[in-house]
Amino acid sequence: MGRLISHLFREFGSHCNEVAKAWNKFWFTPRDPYALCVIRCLVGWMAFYTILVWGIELEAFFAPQSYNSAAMIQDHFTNVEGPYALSFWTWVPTEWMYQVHYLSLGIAFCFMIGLFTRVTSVLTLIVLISYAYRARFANYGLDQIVTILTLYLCIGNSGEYLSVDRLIKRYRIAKGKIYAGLGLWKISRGPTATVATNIATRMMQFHYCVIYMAAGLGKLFGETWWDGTAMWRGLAISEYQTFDMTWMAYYPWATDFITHLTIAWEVAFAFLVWRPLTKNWMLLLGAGMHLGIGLMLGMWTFATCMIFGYLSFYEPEKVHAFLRYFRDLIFNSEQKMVEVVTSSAHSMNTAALKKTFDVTDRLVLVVDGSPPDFDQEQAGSIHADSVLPAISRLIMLDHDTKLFQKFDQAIQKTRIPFSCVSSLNQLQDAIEQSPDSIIIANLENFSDQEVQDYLGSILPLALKFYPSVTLLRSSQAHWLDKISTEDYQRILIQPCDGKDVLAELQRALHFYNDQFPDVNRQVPRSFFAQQQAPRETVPEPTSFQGPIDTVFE
Amino acid sequence: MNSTELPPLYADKPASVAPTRSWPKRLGFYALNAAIMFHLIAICAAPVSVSPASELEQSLWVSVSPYVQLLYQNNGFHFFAPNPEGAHTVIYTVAYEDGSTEQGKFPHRKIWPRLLYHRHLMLSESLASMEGERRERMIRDFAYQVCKDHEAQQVTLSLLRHEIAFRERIIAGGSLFDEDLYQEIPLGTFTWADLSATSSENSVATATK
Repeated sequence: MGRLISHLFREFGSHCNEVAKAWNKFWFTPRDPYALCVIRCLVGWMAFYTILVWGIELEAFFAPQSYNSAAMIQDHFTNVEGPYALSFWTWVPTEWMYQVHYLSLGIAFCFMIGLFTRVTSVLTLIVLISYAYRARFANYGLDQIVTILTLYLCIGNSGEYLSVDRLIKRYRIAKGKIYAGLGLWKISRGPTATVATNIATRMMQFHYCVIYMAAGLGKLFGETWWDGTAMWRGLAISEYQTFDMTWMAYYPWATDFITHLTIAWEVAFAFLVWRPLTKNWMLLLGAGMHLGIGLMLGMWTFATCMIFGYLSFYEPEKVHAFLRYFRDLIFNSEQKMVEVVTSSAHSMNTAALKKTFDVTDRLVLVVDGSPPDFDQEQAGSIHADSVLPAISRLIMLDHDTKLFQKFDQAIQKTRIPFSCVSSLNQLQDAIEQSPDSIIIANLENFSDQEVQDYLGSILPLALKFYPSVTLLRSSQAHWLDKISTEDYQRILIQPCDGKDVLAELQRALHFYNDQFPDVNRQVPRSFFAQQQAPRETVPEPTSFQGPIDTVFE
Repeated sequence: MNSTELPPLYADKPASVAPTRSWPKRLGFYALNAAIMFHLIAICAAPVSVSPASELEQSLWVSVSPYVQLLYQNNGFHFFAPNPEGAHTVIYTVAYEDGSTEQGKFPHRKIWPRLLYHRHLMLSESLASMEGERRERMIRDFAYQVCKDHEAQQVTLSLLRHEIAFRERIIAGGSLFDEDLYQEIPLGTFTWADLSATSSENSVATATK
């Protein structure tokens, strides 16, 4: 009996330990804030627009005597909702209303563009809450969701990307480098993944689950959601209608189906959105439903704002890759431009400013009168094919060498020693022989078991010193969710052509640099050992201060 | 793959904030966990406390309401629940000093942008859902605002309830706008003199509070 109890205790303890580990992993794994920053731009715009629209009838909604008088609102909060519904409008005299409104607009605008984001995010939250509580009876779902998203944007580092704050940082770094007489081709970020960002993202995700679950369960009280007529009733409210949807009365099966689908989706969302297989379907259905609300009921603002939050369910790298695709379509980042900066203050400031806005890193700055080891000719010859950071060997795993043939020529241009292997065993041998190699693994034609072996055993080995580019079929991507690799190891690249592989390799290197800036300083060692000097005479990593440098914040 | 299987480089870089080392860090970690738990419970409390709710749910709501109310997270999210119902419009007739009259309503389709239209729609819907003294106060506030907007001497308000037409009615040749679907509920007649006097009293009362 005693043994049984002790066994049960041990099992229970082990289970609790597993739960704690899962909890910690869920909440405290650092996350890159890119997706949160995109949400900030979108929600910031919505907050700004909402406040802007309030301004059209500011006095009618916010004056002490208006559609809802201040006395009535105050009485409502004191006696019904509770006394903690605070709004700065309570203390704003009538003659200061417009000044306060313009200030609020300014704050929301700064939040949208990411200026002093840490401060303006909190201020925007205060503004939104104040407007919402003062005009309590003119609120609807839009005010709720904007406030919810803004709250979480205050917690995460939502000003790290796509922000004026970022541009200011870039300018300071560029100026510092140029004034120090150093050239510059890329301003890279330091580590950006934070626990706070992850907590904010997770809370956003969880809140969405609560919203949809509450909406779904609330509907289950109504008989029209059971008999299938609810959707027709929604469409038949002429006060909401954007279009005349009366014709839907002749297709009862359609409105019945949408009614049942809505309920099923809302109740299932909280369970299925976490599963890789169903996540996209859940979000796609949700987006469809919200767009339908926008189209039929004219609630575009609410509908789009709900969809903005869906970005939190995607890995920041995927959001980044998606937007980068469009960025690259607009800005051709293939050609590098080299600009020699003279020692005059005007030239250096102008160059720093140019580099600040050079988000695709096309501009290579070379400072005139730079250190003696500076090789002007080398700098002048920089072009797309030679900007791959320092690596000693590149090993490619390609089952049928099709991909290898595709970009063999492109790799040759990089002048990096290169070899191709066709099996996992060969790859493992190659890594053991040359541990400081970069691996490009094309797993498109490998079996699921081999993909699992690669991700579970070889990838960690390959990632020991350098990032790795892994090409997977979309259908294989679920393996990444099954194994417990950390986010920073998930350099997932979907099938792409040879040109993209180079770009993705670069991206992987930069991502790696961001995650391990200290380790990264060792990266040039072998490269310079090979290119310039014997290994024994290689300077300490921290002393590498080439005139053309990647800067870490 | 467990972190223990990783090469030393990765094993040295924990993916999570573990409650290890110094006690202030450990304390901070536990506090952070408690805060997360509290927030999760709080955001669940609002929807579950929507009637009908058990005593447990209600007491949970009472416990966390200051927090969620302060952050405007006190929403039930019962959109179009339990059933989508008919909409309400406030209709008014204003009388001017010269004896002329004018009729109007809100919300109306000319209100632009659409977001502002929805603000007005929410006002009329809120009025329809209210009862008692607060309803009376809201009606007076509406009357005051309409009079002020039109610079009128008197206003008569009504609430127009528009019931939803069933599918069968449409198939039988009916319309969403059939007259029998509308029901007008008189709200009262108010003079500007009376409203402005009340307004002054309210302002004084608010200032005193």
